[in-house]
Amino acid sequence: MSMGLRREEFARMTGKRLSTLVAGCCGVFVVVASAISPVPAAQSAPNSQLGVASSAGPSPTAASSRALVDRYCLGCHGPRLQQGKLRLDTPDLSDVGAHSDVWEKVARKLRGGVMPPPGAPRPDKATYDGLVSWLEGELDRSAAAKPNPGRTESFHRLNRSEYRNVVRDLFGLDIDFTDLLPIDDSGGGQSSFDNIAASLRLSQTLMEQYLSVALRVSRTAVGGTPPPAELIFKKSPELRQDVPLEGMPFGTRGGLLVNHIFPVDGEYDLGINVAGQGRGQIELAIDGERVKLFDYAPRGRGAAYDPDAPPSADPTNNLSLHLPIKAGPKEITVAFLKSAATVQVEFDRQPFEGGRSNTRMRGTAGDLGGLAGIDSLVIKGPTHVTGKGETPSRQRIFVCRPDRTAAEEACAKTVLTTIARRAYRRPLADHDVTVLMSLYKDGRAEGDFESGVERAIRGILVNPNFLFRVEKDPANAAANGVYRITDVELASRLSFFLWSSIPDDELLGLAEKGRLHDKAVLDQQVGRMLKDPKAESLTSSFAAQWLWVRNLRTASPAEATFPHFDEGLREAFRREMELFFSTIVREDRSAIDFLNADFTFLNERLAKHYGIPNVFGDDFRRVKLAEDSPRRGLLGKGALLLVTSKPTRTSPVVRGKWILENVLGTPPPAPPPNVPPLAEQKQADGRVLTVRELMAKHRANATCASCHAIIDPTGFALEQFDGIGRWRTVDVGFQPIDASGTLPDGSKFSGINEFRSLLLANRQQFVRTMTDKLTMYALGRGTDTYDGPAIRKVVNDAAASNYRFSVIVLGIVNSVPFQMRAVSVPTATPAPAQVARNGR
Amino acid sequence: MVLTKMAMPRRVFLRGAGAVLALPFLDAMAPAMTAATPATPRLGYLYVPNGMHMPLWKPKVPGAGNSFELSQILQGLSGVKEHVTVLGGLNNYVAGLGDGGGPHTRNQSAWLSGALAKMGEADVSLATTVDQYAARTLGKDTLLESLEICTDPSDQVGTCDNGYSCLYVNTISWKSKTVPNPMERNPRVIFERLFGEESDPAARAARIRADRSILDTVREDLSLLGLAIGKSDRLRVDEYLEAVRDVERRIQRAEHQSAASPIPLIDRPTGVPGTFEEHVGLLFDLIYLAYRADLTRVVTFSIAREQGNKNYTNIGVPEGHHECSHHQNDPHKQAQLTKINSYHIQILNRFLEKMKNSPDGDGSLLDHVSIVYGAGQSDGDLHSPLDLPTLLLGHGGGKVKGNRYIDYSASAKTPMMNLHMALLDKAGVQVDKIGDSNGMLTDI
Repeated sequence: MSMGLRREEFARMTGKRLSTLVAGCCGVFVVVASAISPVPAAQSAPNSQLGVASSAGPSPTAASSRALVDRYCLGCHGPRLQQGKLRLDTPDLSDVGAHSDVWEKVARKLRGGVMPPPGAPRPDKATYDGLVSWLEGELDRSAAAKPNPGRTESFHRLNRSEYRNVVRDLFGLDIDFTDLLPIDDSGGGQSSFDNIAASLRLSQTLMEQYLSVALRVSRTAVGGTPPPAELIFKKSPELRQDVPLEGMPFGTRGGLLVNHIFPVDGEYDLGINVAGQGRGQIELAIDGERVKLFDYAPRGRGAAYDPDAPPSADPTNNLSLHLPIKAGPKEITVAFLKSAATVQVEFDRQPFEGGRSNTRMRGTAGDLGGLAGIDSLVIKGPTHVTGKGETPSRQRIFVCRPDRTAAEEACAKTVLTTIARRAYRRPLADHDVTVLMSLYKDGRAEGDFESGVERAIRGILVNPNFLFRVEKDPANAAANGVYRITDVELASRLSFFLWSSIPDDELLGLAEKGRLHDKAVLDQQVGRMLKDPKAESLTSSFAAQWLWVRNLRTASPAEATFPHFDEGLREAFRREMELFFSTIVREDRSAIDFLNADFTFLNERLAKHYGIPNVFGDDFRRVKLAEDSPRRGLLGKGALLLVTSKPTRTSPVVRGKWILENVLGTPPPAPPPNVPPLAEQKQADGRVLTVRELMAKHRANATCASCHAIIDPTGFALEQFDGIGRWRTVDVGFQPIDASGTLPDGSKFSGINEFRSLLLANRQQFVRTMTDKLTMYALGRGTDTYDGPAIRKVVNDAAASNYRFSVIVLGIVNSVPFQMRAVSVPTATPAPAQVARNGR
Repeated sequence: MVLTKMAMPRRVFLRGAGAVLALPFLDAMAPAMTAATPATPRLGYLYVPNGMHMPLWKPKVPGAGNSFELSQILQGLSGVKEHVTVLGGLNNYVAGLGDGGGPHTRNQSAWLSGALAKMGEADVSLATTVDQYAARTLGKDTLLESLEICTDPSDQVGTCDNGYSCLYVNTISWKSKTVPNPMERNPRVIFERLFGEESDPAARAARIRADRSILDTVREDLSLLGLAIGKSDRLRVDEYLEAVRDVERRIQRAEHQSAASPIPLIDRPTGVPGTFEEHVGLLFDLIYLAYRADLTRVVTFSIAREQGNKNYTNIGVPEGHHECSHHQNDPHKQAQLTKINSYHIQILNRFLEKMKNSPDGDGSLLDHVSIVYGAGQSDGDLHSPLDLPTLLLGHGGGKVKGNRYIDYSASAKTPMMNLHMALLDKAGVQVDKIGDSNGMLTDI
């Protein structure tokens, strides 16, 4: 089957319209072959599987490569058509390095097997592979002679999750800034990480929020007496109230867990709000110890639950307690005790909360079927302060304590320089100390020693040296030169890459002594850091974005189509993906496990969803997957299958795009302007079109076909999973699922397992793609063609270890772009915007 | 989920996921605040995404007064009809000029700029938006030069419009060609920007003093870093310095304002309410308060972001908004889209009624504002930036007639920006040209 255009369609589109149509689609456009190529398109359906697997034959040369390019590429990328605004007849192949931007893109397209397009003739596999290897070799050779590390931004603002981690590491305070700082913009397009420096700007509003947050953090850290406040910790809608929850005391159901920092030793009021009907006993515990057991009986017996009526801390129920609490972080749990009576009303799943809200919630009190649930915890106080207390943050801050007024200033200096060195991630200059001490004196004048320290900490937290990672060009750097970054800058790059936070004292100390660039020292530090619990940020930041886990929250399967979907499943999807990723990092497994690991993590809810027997209970555990389990690797995970679906059906387009972008590393170009969406109407006979039939319409339309001929057939690989990731053999219309498709390189497959085998046969391509993403995240800038050689080196060097995760990380850390920096932003040879974008 | 209540409690609100600021409190505090003199021009820009169901949005025939009848979707405004001007036939031609995918991005970002968004992610570029031209003049004497708010969080991954930076859909307000204004969705944060975090005047004054001395050090260190970093990064440093100076200016105004009229001890919102309707309602209340107390005279509000696919199950629309907007002439989808359009109008109406019932000098607050409500595209199925669905609300201090439907014919090729030129002119803001404007509407 040729996916090429039919002749009349081509004819219809020639002339003026052709150029505009093609412009949007970067040369994946199929041209009728007969006029240009000696081989008729229909005969040459390429199949790399069937290609001649021979390494014999003459090694490629510039001349032989030129002949191949002329024969197979110029039909579209020659002087006549210049599809995707790309010409391959002019850039010289005898000096590949001089046009590295063009040839890097070509190499990338060839590695992904997307060129020549489906239906167009290709050389045999050995020749094809020989050409791309030769090209890469030439590119790497020229890069080695003249490295181009690219230029990371000079100013790199902390994003919100980094800010949170830094506050944790500076003061031992874990504060949730979700409500206090705005979410960060992700780099757009295909990079999509929220740590891309170019997207992290500072606006007036943000500066105001930093000021406000600095006040809160410094006050909490130093333990200044805050005005009495009332804090309400409301149960998240996702928390079910009818079953035991992970992390809650044994023998309880539902409830809520609050980590709260009590600012001072003092007296506080704790109050509990309950929603729903039904009596029961409520346990209130602090740091795991029961403080009180309340008997709860609702007032108006038998009254219908009204979600709009404000539940209140009803004094007649006496659900509040006045008690002294020591300063510092405490874990408070509130939950109903699980009684025999409650067991019978547990269900496997609960219906959505209908009608009230546009984000469907579940497990709210209204759904409890006669049970009462915890609604919120209220903490009031301090009503009476008895002392500042010894919190972990105070111990960390006050490394000295003045015994008399005259000693205050010296002590303040010690305290503040210790914090500021860590906060600014470098040795301090005299000017820094002057600024800190002037702020200290301001605060001291209005209060005592501690208010001075608090004021200066507040200043540190909004100082540009804190908010921005700053990289400076050396004074003597040539305008177009490249240079090795300093050890101190390297320490920050490293810690923000692996920990999303500041260097610890060991790392910073080594950097200050100038020992970090020593490869042995560096490698040892990377090993140490990957084992540190702080490396969990690779899961919560890198993987959550790379794998689109962050989109889970807003995925909204249509209730009518997927009544089986609920919040418990959404949460289970997230946990599975997080545990899966973090296990590969923690156990330093092969990156190939992302495609084919023989294990995953399930609880009962998820196991049932997947049709895997013998998993019981809410806790997640490691489960071994059979050789032929469709759940192996990322592609079988519900999280990914859900976020790449539409509310009512699967989307081979989104799934295909995800695979092309994240597995094969050949993201499809943007669609042309004003594309009409696919008609989803029923047929005249009332039959609903299958998703596959719907997608076929893409290819009936010439404009769409040029790209969708590649995207859709890739996405079909996942058609055996429905819009919420369930295994299926028939679709909603009870028509059999056809999960056969074709990879861009022509290899055919049917179903997920055959598809996975194809990916495994070309595993290096996946590793390269993942390394590219990880490099982007590590650098905080989009990768470009000039990063190609460095990324290739990382991958090639990791091959011997079968791509162990730590070896890839080490490779990135030791790479040219990570260790070096260009003085000016590299300007690739003027390339059309279109191509530059697709080069990613 | 942490909800912080800073003020001493009077009673506990626990509706939805967030505690909602009860309206009686807001109303009660309004008289305590300085109101603007009636002649003060106030502007507002309210954005809704994904276009409208145009056949039921447009009134049948142009007309004024009794000969002007509201369309089906606009029925919800019958109580304030006298203040409504429906405008048809206004166009944002530039949004149609773009290359490649991403019509939603182009349409939304052109709505207040009349400019074409630049593709790519590193160096975003658009144009100063209308609201910011207004803010430069009208914001001189108010606490905030302008207020930018929205409802949608901006944490989607991997789904920003093809090749365009997410910045273009995260905001509709641009301070300059390269500096987008972030929009805030958390009512608590907006409240604190308007009224401060401290309820106690002495604490407020102390806070302001400390912030000022801290900001001095920030500005100084930022300048030093700029010197150390060299020319190529200078622009960025200048941008940040400007942001810091803006904060300083606001603090200065807060100091004056604080001295002139102490903020009463009030209850404050604690977070983002659980439902869209409560959230939008609360944000409208804050806009009302901001106008009422003359804390700002320019407000930009993205009621939902372009291409947003929110489902409105509460009004019987389980399908996503974006999904419905691609109706393909399916009567069911068109009916669902009509429901969403009408629902937004109902929520808008509550805000307008409140403005109408709020006495202000010789009339009502609604008499003295000019608020533009609309979308960046007409038929969402076609992503058309032509014949934009646009409402002008309020009488602009007597300078806007109201109670009419004016249809600028297709042949007249009237740019949308001509409306903004006219409104700025009426508000006393001098601008030569915005985007592709070629004059100003004269008959509103």
